Amino acid sequence: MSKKKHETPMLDELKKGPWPSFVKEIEKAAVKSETANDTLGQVEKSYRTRRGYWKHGGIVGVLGYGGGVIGRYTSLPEEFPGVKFFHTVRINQPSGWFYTSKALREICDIWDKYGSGLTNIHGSTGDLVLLGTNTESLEAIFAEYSSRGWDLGGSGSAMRTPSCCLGPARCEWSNINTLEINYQLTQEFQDELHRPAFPYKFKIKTSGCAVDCVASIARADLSIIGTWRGKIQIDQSEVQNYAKKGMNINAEIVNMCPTQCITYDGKEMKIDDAECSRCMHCIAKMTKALRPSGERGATLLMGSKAPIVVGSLLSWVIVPFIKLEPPYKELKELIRKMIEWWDENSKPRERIGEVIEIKGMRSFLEYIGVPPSPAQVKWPRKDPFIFFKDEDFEKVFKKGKY
Amino acid sequence: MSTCAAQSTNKVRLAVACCVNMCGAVHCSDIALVALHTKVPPIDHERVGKICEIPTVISSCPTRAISPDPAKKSVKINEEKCMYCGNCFTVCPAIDIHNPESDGVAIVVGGKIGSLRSAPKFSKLAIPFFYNEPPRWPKIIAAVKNILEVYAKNARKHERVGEWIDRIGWEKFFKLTGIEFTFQHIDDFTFMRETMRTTPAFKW
Repeated sequence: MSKKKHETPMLDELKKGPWPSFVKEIEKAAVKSETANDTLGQVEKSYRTRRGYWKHGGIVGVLGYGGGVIGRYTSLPEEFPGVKFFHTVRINQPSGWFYTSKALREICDIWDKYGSGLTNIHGSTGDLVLLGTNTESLEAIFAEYSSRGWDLGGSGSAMRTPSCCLGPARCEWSNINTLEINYQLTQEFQDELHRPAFPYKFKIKTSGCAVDCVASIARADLSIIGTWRGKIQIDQSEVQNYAKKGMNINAEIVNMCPTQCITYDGKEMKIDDAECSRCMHCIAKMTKALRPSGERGATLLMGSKAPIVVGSLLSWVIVPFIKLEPPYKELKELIRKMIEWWDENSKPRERIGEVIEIKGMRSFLEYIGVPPSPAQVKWPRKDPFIFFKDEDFEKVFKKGKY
Repeated sequence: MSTCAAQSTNKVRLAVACCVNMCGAVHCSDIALVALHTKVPPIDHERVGKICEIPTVISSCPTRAISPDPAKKSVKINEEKCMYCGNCFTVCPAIDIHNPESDGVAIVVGGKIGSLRSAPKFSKLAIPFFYNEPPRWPKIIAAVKNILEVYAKNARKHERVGEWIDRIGWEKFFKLTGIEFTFQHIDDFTFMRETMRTTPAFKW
């Protein structure tokens, strides 16, 4: 048992109140771990001086892998020797983050043995994240986890651990088998995941519907979002039940429909399916009454990222509709072509969305073999500065279409 | 974190990011805090030559504010171009951008991820700067609470913060919340065009 090494008056302030406290948790870990103990000391110092003392980078990892461990260090090793090394270990999470409690215990027991005992479970990447260990322990950590069937996730300029919503395993809105797609993509891109060879990171996230619970549209280079082509089936008696329970169907559903394709006269709800843009509002609010039907698949969007370096991007539509069924050959081949084009056209540290912006959609779409479509844009070009290729006249304009 | 603002509205995603890398999805959250720098970083010229790769440092700068300084075997920063993103510090610790006196926090609002009703949106600047006040940041908490309460009082059922603001207009948002509109609110980075109002139809 190690004693609390540092006085932490400012952090103690954060133990007050009804909410869970990260300070209490780090204190519990500090009983057994010098690393956690000095983490507390360093965080307290940061609160006092109002600046951070973490450094990251350097090459740390395990034999045969180029990623999965993120090197992290204190810039004050004399003052806080316990956090001289504080590497992050990413464990590839199961699709949809399903674990047995036994599996979680096993993961945590190994982590108690070699690491700080601290985890924030899942970081923004989707991986199961273990916080704080030293360089010498890495091989042993990897050996223990991999002997139990776990693998490291992606980091650096590589395919990042694919991530998905829990999909059909727990949600009636899912249009695709997100879990299976995610698993298949993880298997397909093992080499790209563990051996960083890309210009920068490449993230794939899969959501079962446009609610997009994994935020794929905001933070994945490739966002796979499940959708359908067919009618929304209406159970009129359930519609009445919603009305009876106090839902103002005209105000909450009809008037909030972005395409105004729903009507309701107090007795019957009607949907003009040809006008529906499949936004999910009515289905999410009246799940018992409304259900998509017909062909299922996904829209593929690309390019989203956080602000670093030249501003944030949301993913935009590349493939309006793709069927997604095992063995997902078309999807896998398409992703390989996307990456190939990116690799050939990118400078270091450029995300694929930025490269598409620089080189133009045409270059990218032609390479991956996807035709232009109004679904890809909010509006067409507004300026008369138009690029033409000689072949365009032969193939399109001389045919007398215009 | 989602919290129910009021039965009459929708969920509110609060996100916090400790730097502009935004590991918390601040750029698409209803109400979010992002920590930022506000001053051009000083360069420790002696260390730059020893620990930094100069071409990497130059190319790390999104505004091309960094150029070589051959006399010092280091780099120099064009102060007018620097917008304090800290990307140079990421690749070169000798350009230490930390500054406890001038680092602070901005509040951005109105982002969303789902496509329900309206397209996903980025969060936009509500309040450009708060001083860093650990351990409880009382002024920031009060400001978030104010925005949350004004939203809960004025939004229609199922409207997210961004949808509510789009309906009433940003001029109305600033009026209702009592937040002062400053030069910092007008985009003067690379994205100004699409943000300017191109109609005389707005609310007093």
